[in-house]
Amino acid sequence: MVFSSTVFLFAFLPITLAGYYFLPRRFRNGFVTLASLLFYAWGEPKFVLIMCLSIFMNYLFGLLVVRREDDAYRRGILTMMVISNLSLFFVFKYLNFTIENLNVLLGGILPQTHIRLPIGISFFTFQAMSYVFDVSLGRGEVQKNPLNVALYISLFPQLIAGPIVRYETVAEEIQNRQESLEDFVRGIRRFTVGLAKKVLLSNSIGLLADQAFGFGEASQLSVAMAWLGVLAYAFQIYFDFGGYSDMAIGLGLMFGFHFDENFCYPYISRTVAEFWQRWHISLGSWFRDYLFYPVSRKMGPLSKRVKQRWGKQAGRLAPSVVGLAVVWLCTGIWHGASWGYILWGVCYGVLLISALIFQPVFKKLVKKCGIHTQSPGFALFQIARTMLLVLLGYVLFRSVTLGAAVDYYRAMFALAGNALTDPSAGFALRNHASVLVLCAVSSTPILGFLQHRFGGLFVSETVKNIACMLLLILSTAYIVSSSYNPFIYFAF
Amino acid sequence: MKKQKILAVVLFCGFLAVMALGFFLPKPAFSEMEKRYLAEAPKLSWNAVLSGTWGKQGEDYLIDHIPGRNLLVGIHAYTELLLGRQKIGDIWLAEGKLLEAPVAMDADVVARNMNTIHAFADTVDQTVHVMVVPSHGWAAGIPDYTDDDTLDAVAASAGGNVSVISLEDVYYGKPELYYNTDHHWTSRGAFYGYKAYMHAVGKEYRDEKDFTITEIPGFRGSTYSRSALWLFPAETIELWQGSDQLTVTNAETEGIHEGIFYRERLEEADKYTVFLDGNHSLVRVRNPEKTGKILVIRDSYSNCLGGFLAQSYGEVVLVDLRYYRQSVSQLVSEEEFDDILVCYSCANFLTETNLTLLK
Repeated sequence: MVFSSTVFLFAFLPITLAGYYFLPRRFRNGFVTLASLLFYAWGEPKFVLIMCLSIFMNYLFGLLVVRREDDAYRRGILTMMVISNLSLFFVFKYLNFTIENLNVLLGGILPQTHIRLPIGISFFTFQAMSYVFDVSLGRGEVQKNPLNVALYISLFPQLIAGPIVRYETVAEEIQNRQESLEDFVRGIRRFTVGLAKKVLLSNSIGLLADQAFGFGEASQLSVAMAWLGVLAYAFQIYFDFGGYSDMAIGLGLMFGFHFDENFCYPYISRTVAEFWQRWHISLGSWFRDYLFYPVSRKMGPLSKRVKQRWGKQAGRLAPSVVGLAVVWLCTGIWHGASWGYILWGVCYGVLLISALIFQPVFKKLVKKCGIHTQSPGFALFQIARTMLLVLLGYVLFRSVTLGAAVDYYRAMFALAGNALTDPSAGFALRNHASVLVLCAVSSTPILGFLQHRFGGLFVSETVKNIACMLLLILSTAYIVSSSYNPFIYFAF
Repeated sequence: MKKQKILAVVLFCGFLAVMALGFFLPKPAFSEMEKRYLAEAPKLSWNAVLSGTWGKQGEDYLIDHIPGRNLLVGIHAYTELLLGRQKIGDIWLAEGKLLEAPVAMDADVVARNMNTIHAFADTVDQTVHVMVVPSHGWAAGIPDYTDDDTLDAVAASAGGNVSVISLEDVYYGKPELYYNTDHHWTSRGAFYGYKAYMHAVGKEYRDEKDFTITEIPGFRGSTYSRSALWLFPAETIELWQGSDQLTVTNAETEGIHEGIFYRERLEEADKYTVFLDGNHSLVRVRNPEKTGKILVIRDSYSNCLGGFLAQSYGEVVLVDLRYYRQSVSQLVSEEEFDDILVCYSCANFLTETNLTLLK
């Protein structure tokens, strides 16, 4: 089930909310868990078994890992836990892809599998691993009751599209949480804004992106259309994913959970590193805490060797470089089983590592040129540069094949014998102009700034209530209209 | 402050509850606006639930029967309008008209259709006239509509037994010959088509002044219901009454209908079926005052055109290949026609795949 459907909005949500608040507290966790399993099972019931397996497995690992204090034992359990989770993850997400590629190398001797991807497996697997990690690090109590682990892993707000809520964030709230009117209202507003982002902005601008990326030949795609298309895709994916995160956070609040933020205006980032601190924050911090730190901590000996050979500075950077390389390879792979995603991850790895290595050089350069780093002009330049890199990355991310990505790049830089602009680009721009402006404005903290600076109408509860209802009704209208499809010829 | 917060909860939960409870209202099975049967409630069974189809069908069912569906679809359409969109769904809004989206010329399709028509003409061994009616958008001079490319390609493939009647000059610059809320030509538009055809085959036609014209107000057609711009102004349908001797029969209904206008259809949501009762696989219009017999291979544009042709022929036989599944050449050999006409709108000519079934 997805949030932007009538089944969720007008059947699942009202029933779940009503049931939750009418039941006595001791039944509430069980009720939400049950509702979450139903939520997951709606479209593809059999995959719910995989999630249950994941829940059961990590429940046991959680109990095991706290049984003894010694490090070697814990490391053993954690290794087993990671191997089990990643095996499950691998089979359902990467086996098809791996066999496909092995067959290219081995000449097709392996039977090709056609295992379908259970929705949300990337999210709940990582979340489940976070449970055992955090329990072993003492960042949250181990759960004796398997239902509580089930609640944590399957909680429907974040189940299928994140954020990846780490166990330490909600460990306390699983057993003791206080729902409040304040939170409920914040939840309503947050959810509605997220729904509007997804339905009104992302879906609308997605039409433009689909049009551009659906090109037949690179020579048919004008330069203007190619750039317009990738910009539209940037908005589509941000408001889709960001909207989902908003809805998840909002729903969490309605049920008394406080999740961490997952996005923070990524498109105003001045550097690529900053972009990744503002984009899909929960994934970034998961990789940082459970992969980057452990890996770079293990790099002591390497650091020493590098220091002897290339000097102190290099020695200090070496662990981070290795950590970043591992994290970004994994980030690419996490996003999907295809070479496009892997290459996309590698590109970001290379960008971030070069930024780290060449940072002193850049600093010197900026100083030599006499550029004032705090000036608005320089900030704009940095934002534009970061955005450009992000857009180039999206081409890899969006294209179906690497070949299509290369064709798209050629079209963007007029290398495909394509026109600079064409009538369809003009029409698309006119047709989507207002939505593009709305997207651009909503990508920046302008509204928050106005609220902060002027108050008055911007913070009036009445205005907020009206705006919230307006967005809710408009979003419903947009969801319903997607099914409105009159027949022109109705004869018999 | 607290009152406002409570109000926020009441509004939100109230909206969800009203929509959820409204679902238990009685539901129509058929949508007049969409001209289709709405999704039925999925049947509950273990297999359906476990395979996930029950869930998916349930979603279709809910969304088709959501309370205030037409109102919500209208809100969507007007919001799009407010956002400055030139397209609402697949309907183009231009110069106060609701137009079907332009269909770009496709050389392969034109070649395929013209080859089929040539082969058919050779089979029946008789001249086949072809009329492709340009679209409203092109007639209005909107640059995105490039019907002339298609019309030129059609004209270029004439020869042998196939003769093409050019309509470019008849319609270009005359958007008033089409409805603003429907994808068809108006009665006057069809009359001009009739005139152009009769002129091309060198026969006499019934003059405009020999018709009695009745205006029927309150018409909103197909592009209106597809756009969902519910406040869009209605227009009039003209009924051009010529000879009062005409009778109509069709393959799907029993009995003989007096006259070409099905006036009871004017009470329905789509009044356009007033012309020859809308689409049928085979329609015969007889005129005892005239002689000669014409076969028209056609789309819905000829619902109106057929009535005009019947002013000049003893019998007009209209065949719609979307529904007529027998061999047309066999029909020709059985019945013997003086003239054969293939008449399609440009958009249908480019998208209608059943034309290849002509044999």
